[in-house]
Amino acid sequence: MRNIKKIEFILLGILIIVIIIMSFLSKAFLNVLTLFQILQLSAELGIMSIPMTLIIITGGIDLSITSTLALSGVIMGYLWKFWGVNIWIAAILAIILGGIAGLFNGTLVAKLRIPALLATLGTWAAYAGLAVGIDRGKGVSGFPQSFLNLGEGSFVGIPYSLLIWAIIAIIFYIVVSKTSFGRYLFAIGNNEKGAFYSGVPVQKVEMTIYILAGLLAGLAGVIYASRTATATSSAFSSGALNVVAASVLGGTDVKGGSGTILGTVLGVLIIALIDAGLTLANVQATVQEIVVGTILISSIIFYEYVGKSKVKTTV
Amino acid sequence: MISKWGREIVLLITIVGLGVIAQTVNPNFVSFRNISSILGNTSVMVLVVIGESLVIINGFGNADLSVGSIYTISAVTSAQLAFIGTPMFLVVLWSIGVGLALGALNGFITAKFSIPSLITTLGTMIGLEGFILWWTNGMWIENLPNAWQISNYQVGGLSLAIWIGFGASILMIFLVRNMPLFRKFYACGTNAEAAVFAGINVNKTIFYALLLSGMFSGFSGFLSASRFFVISSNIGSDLVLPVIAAAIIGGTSILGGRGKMEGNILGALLLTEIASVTIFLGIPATWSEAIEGLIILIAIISDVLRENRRKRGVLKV
Repeated sequence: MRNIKKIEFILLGILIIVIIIMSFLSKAFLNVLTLFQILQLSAELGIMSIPMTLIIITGGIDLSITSTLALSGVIMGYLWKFWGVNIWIAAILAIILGGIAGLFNGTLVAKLRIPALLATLGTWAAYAGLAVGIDRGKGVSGFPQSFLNLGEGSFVGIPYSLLIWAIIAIIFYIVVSKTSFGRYLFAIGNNEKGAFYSGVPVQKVEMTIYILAGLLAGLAGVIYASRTATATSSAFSSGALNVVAASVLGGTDVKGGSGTILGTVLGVLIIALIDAGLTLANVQATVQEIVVGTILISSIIFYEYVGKSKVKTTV
Repeated sequence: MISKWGREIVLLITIVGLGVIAQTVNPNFVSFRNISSILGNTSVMVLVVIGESLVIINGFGNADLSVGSIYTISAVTSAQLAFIGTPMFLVVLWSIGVGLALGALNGFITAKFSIPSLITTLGTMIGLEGFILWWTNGMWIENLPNAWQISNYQVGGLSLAIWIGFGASILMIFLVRNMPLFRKFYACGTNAEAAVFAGINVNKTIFYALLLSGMFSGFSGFLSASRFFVISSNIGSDLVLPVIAAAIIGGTSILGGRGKMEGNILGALLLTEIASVTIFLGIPATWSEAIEGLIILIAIISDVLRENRRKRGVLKV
């Protein structure tokens, strides 16, 4: 149990500091248009980090989420290019396929009781391999303009992908904080057996969140393909851990039992802005990877330290 | 006898059977050249599998995901040291030292803050991968001196890497069986609470496990790299999943407390054999990742199902 309100304030402070530092590094930074462009690059990260937060709250993890993204994108491209399926129907089928991948994860974790980290490590390899096999490393491009609009276009200045992320974030903010389903997540994360004996449908809840993760990863795959105008098996491969890092930085406890959607959104924003700021400041892309690894470890250590030294308070 | 060595017998039969199948499809499979190539590829990963297994034995939630990154860092920096003319025995010591240092870092973070080692090493893995790319800039290391290739030194018809890799592994079989430290690993993995009451420092055992895993990864990185004259900066980037798969196929339980070194050696052998068989059967390289993923998935699922059967009811929620 963590003092989540306090963590959110700290994160907000960090976010403001990051923005100030970055705006000194690059003059182009403090411009609403640039900000939207930067955030647009992180829409997929943002969308995937939300179900990831739900899963980590229950004490699980889903490492296969970025493979699911790549696999969905590749399947969509394949259906469209080689089977001549309408691109929007292909996109919907790809999202459903993501859901099936999630269903498989859910079966392994909730039904077969395989530790989530290992189960999804396995499916991560399997889905990624499947994507590479289908794609043969070639990638599909040349999508119609109407489809590309999804990733590039905007509504009254706000990019569609950001709108989708915002809507999903708001829905899940309500689900987590206001519904019994949200309460179940915390109950499972704190004491799975206790939750089961108190009548929480543990298997159903776990199954649901893994399916949700698959569906949203599928959606993120479609958006990614639209934004980059290519469906490829290497999609998002560099960002596999960013999703976990964003969620953990946002105050979600890796051991389960606490976390909020707002914290996760702030975590995504911080990582996105640091990434973009480093790019603008001409820092090598490889250093950014070091930064993400360091953020992940240091935020775990920080929260562990804060959690131990301070009087514990309930969510 | 059969129940005690059941897994090892099944693994041996699988290894031989797979060889027979490959041989009937492609008569070039069973040749001295190919078999020593399979043994060579096994010898540079078998110690990593043993280290990984020792970490996993420490209990549920433990595994070392950073083995591939440590392997690469050791390989690359050792090659660079050899390039500037450092004596080879110092290079070997360096590779072990790098492994020990990074293993100690993993161990320190895990033990000090009581974080599951899977999470710690997930973080160090990505940090180290970034470091490697930054350090090498993705460049290959070339023009190494002749003394560099000590792994290829032939002793009795087989390369030195095979002698060292398998020799050290067989030594580990005896050490794990007889040293009190390793008994503690099994105790922690079987029942951490009971281990604490028996006076075992649980944090210390996981520290030592990660330290050893780091050391083996560092040394194996050198062993692998010194087979080649050109060292790429992604030499160990695809290592971690096959290593975990080999350990699990070899009988290491992902729930902790169970695993034999003999099984790990056979698991490593089976995995490299499968990689060789896919080439000999003419399966396109683009599907090799999917096959590997499938093997890992099957290994994990079957291990958990087996454990569930063993302690039926305990795991059921």
